[in-house]
Amino acid sequence: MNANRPPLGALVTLSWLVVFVAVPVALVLMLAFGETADRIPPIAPLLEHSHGHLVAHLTGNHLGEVLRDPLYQLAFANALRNAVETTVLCALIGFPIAYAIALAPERRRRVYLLLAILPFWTSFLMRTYAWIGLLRDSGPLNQLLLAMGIVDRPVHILYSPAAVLLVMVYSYLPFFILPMYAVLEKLPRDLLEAASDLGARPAYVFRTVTLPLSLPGLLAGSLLVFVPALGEYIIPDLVGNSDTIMLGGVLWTEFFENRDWPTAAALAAVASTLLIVPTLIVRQRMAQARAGVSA
Amino acid sequence: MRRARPAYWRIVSLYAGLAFLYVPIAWVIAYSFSGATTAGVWRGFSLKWYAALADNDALRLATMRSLLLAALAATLATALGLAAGYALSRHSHFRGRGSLGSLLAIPLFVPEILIGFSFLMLFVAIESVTGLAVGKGLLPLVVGHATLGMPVVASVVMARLAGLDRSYEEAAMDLGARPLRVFLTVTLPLMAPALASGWLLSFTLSFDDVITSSFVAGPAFATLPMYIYSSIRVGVSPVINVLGTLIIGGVATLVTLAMLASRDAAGPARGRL
Amino acid sequence: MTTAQTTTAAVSIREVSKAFDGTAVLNSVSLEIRAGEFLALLGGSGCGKTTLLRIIAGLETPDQGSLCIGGKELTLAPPYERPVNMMFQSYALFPHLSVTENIAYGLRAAGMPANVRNTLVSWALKLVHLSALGHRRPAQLSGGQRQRVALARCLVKKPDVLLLDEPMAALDRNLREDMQRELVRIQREVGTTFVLVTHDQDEAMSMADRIAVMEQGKIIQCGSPAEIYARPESRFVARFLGRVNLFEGLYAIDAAGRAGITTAEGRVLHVAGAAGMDHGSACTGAVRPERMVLGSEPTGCATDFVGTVEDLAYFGDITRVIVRIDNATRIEATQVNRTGERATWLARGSSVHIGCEPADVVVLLA
Repeated sequence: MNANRPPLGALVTLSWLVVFVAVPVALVLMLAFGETADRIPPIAPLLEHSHGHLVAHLTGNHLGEVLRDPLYQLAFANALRNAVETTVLCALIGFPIAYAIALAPERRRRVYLLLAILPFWTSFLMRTYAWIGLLRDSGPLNQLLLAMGIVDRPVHILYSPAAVLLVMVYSYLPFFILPMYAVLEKLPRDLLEAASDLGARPAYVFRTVTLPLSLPGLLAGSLLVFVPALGEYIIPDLVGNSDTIMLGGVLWTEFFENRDWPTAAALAAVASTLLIVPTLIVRQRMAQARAGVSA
Repeated sequence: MRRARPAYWRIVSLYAGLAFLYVPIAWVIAYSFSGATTAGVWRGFSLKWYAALADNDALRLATMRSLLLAALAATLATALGLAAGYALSRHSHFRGRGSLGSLLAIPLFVPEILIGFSFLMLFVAIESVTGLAVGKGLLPLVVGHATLGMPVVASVVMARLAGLDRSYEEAAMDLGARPLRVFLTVTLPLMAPALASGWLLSFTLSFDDVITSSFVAGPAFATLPMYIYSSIRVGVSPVINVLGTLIIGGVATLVTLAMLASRDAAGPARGRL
Repeated sequence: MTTAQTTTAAVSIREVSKAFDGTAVLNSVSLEIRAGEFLALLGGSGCGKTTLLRIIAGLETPDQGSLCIGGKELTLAPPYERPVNMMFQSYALFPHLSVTENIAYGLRAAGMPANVRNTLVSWALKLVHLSALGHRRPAQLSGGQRQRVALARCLVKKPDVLLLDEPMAALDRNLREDMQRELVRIQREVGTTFVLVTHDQDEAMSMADRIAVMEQGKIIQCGSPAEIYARPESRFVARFLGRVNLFEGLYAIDAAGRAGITTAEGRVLHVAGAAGMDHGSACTGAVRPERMVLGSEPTGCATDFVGTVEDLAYFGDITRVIVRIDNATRIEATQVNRTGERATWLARGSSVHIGCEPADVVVLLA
């Protein structure tokens, strides 16, 4: 029996992924130890034949620089704080929405769900652009605040950390709502009824039954928000300022503006290492939570 | 028994949440019809910016380019994602299964900026080894976007196959159909809704992509999102509102139709990054 | 009378074993299925009956043992090369194809020309009384109609053996009996060998020519429904098919040479002499409730106990009576309600005699 022989589809896709994912990622990790050069591409070959000797151009300088330089440390810290804040806000805003959809009558549920995730399918770039328009000094938000007499002069919201957080939460909200809804929808209604029948008040039912059972969705949603938020580049670039320099931004600058590819690669290497750890932890917790619920 | 009225918090959070999601989109659409020369200022209903867009050759080219790219990448991603998803959910034991699963997860869990960077490194490496200038133009973009879309399609396929009773395929085999016939006449038709939504997801992923495109394509082969991105960096412009209205309208129509057709409103959660 | 049928085996299974992830599901099973018979594989969930069926269909391969269908060794042949067809528990009707296309599927796979195909499909539709619904999709059919389509889809292939996996599981209770009769009618009409998997002993008894009772991956008894009911070979079979009173004790032959089972309480259940049973060996006597005789006076049977009526359950046609003999022993008896009223002596708490004849007792080992 050839039970262990991979099927053709697996062979093809595995080869594809090796060539277009594994090898490229390995190249970036290697490049983190490379040296810059004044040529195109702007990197020195890692190995070179020189006067009959094989010379390796390898250095740990870029990695060390990335780990030591306060600018990069600040970028990492900013990215982490921003990702945490985005995740927490998405959870706080997204949970009631997901719960409200899950509790809606069956027929309306589908419509609400469609409405909640439709923005996630439409152009992300356009939605970010819309916020630029909304938050501008002369935009509708400031006009409204001025007209209502709440402020007497436009508030500078755009190009600030608050704007970044707002647009991040806006963009990532559907990522949280979706898995959260999937879990809440399956939550057996009779468990909640049993709890209230046994004398638990709504808040107590929520804390002791709803919340523990919806933990897998909460974790899945948080992961889906946290991981991409950590590497977000476009939103801080478009609606942030110099205080919102983040991981993606410094990488982009090193690569496109400074043409310092090894430093960019070192940043990428550190960033992916930082990302793998929370991803693995959360995935493992999710598997445990799932096993616990089904048991 | 009297039905309890829905709690106040539910109505508030639902409608406030939906309003939060839709106000920005409404702004884009509304101001695309303004006659003012600056975006976000209302000067009466006008279609002049639509006409301006139709006259903009550079934008038209970028749009055609992006549509072609998205269609090609989505088709390739669907084929690859189907193969990977099918192998993973229908074959529980084979050598390399673990590697396939892990490699498939990388584009989903690693920020796109790293993925885009690594693509470029690959094309640079190929160029420096073989001397072939593969790193420019449509081909690397198709490959890159297809690689980003493939795990998305694979996860949609796997979700569909997990919910698909194996006895359909067994019945087909039992009735005398060989594996290829079973796949073509039973498995594939039953997966059509999943493949359609996978294709659509990959399409929108590609049609919205800035980061990978910026690394791989270079300024000479600007896609529509790259064009939009560089315009937005400068500020708001009514033409962008028009473009946004068209994109949002097109995608929303397609997605709504696909969702109604597949009766599976819960698309897979997947980001752009 | 059945010379041709008894000599040809439609399927012969030899010492087939199968394990899933280290758990044995089938343990050296051997079974001959005769051509043209209606065989039921009967057992509780997890006994291996469905796995055995799937091995015949080729949907699972045995770890050990061999399988011949129509005299050909087909142990490792793929499902699409076997002259057997299976009706799935879920029916597995292709949702994207019409009734006609579903039925034609197997013929198309065999590359049959369209005109032959159409003739066969019409024949099959007629056989299951669905000629008017050929254009419908499975979703537009009732449960019973779906079952008929699934049946037609298999029969149109004219298989040597038709395998049915719990065919009644998805049907309403009141539809079941109709479909059971319908299946038997169709089996008689087409003469195909039917192998039915079921956990419902009534279904097996009423439909099958032969029943193979399975437990823990083994066939523990195989025979006609009447044989299995009247002469169970183990306590499991006795209990699985219908109700039974079990008397545990020691086999004994008294001075007069009569055989009996002496229970721990010292009662003697008279039995017909059992071959191969020694004086003093542990055994169990099994008596069906309908063989028990009840009376207000001594019953006159060889075995006669006195007890108290503990419970009466009225079922219309019959009444089940539970008689308590002592703290450890309760005997169930079935009374046929011949007249409208119940005998006055038969009431909860009344003292009654309950007995049975030696011929009605089946002696089981241990």
